[in-house]
Amino acid sequence: MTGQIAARETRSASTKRNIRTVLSVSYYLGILPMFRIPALLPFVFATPFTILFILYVGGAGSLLASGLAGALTMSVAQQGLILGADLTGFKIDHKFQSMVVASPVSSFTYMFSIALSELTFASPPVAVLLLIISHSGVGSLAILEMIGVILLTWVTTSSIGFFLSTYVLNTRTAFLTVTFISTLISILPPVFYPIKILPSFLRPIAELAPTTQASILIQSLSGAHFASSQIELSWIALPLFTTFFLSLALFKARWRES
Amino acid sequence: MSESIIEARDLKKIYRKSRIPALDDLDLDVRRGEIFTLLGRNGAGKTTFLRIATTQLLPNSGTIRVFGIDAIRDPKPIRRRIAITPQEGRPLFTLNARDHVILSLMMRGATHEEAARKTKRVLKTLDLDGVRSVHSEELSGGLRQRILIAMTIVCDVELMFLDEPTIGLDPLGRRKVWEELIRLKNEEGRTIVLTTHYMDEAEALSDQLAIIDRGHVLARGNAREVKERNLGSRIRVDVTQGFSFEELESYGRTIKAGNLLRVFTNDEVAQEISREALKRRVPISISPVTLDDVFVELVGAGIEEEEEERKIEEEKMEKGVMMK
Repeated sequence: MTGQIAARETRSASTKRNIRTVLSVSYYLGILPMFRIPALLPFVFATPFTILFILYVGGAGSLLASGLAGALTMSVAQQGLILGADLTGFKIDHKFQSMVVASPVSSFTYMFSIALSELTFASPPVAVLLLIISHSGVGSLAILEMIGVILLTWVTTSSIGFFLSTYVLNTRTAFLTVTFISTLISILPPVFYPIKILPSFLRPIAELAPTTQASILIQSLSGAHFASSQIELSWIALPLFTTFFLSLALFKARWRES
Repeated sequence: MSESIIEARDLKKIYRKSRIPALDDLDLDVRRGEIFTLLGRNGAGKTTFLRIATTQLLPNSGTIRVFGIDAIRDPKPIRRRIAITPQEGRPLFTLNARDHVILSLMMRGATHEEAARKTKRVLKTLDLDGVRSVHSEELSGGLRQRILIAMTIVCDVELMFLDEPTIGLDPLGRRKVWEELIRLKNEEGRTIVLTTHYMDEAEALSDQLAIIDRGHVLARGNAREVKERNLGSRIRVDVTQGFSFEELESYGRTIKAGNLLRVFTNDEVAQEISREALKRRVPISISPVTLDDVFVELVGAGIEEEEEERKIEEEKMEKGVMMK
């Protein structure tokens, strides 16, 4: 059999293989570690819930709605970005990525698999926050829409994390970069607080963060009042951010080094 | 002669921030069904070649075909048919040996049942069965290395790359790996490309080998051919006392390593030295030349050249400073 013939793979075989890749990688790198080392879970809860607590106590309950939206956005965004640090570790320290590149697994399948494993880690705080929000009287349709926003945020930040991981040269830099970006897009902009608090000249800058758009949508779905134009803008902007960063990850990430 | 599974021509790679080429117009052929070993000191270009051949890295120029497919332009069909154990890899700390091997197989599309069956066999083969459920962070370096090897050899691929696979393994562990690689070649017809610093490993395993240095192939062929072509002697005589360096030089090319004086020569001269040693009542050791000798001879010359070049560069710089 010649190389060319043996190299062909049918579409259905390729789909089956990709599904197995996604399931196995997300299970072995996400679900299994979470059950084996449950001590990792408090780290996922720590930052978003600490900020939520401060806002709740400091704002005497008035900032609870935006705080919950912020905590929900940050839980997902932080885990999406951590993907960048984890992947850098897999690439530099473990050389696992070498094994993956030299295999039929595509960069997209690998990114999606690891992103799914990160989402697994983010799911406990997300579930707790969604439970709190639904108890505050938010309807199930709004909760479903929130899940949609969460998924868009997950894809966006995972794409940012993946893109970064293919350029960063050491694990330490990766962790510092991820922490910096996480602060920059999850704490500084109006993610935990209403955008109207910001001086008007800062609002366009704040809106450049995909997390701002995600938080606005979650806040509005929780019942906070926004101008309809603002909501429409966020529903357009967030998918656009997702498309942009996903394209960046797919076409500009350095999967094969030059 | 069997077909070439890897054909590299004029392969050049210069990393950014480096003036020295990692690969310098390298030509290399690996034939199907053989164990091919790349020998070279650190930084010789072995890993760079492996990374290019496994479609992880792009060269600056030259061509490389794997299974007859252009590895630079069309990597996808190649990736399904290869697997690699990278150099200095580390297993993931939350997983055990069994998890790693199953993951390696399922990632490539195997069902869980199929993966579990193959995993059981490979863990037994590499003596990892007893520690299959122990987290990798609790294992010794040698056992961790064996996990990485298991992740590669378990894959049903035609071409395997192992970058210094037995580094950190104890002698028994190394032999286990050797036995399995030879079995994979003989029984399953796999082609194996490996890099190593261990000359005994290269000699024991390789059908073909290449000694590379500074991105060039210095010697290639099977171990016997490489020794014959590059040393011109078949016998070495080791002496630690009773002879001076100058005296031994009259018998043939002599090198000094610590207290040891080694003469490369032929059978007749070796007998002559032996008679002289008997007269003087000093011990000597006569043995066939090894790959180690060829390696030192070829790569050592390169190091001497490098030293010369470095000295010339330094002198030029000093003169430049004085002129200023």
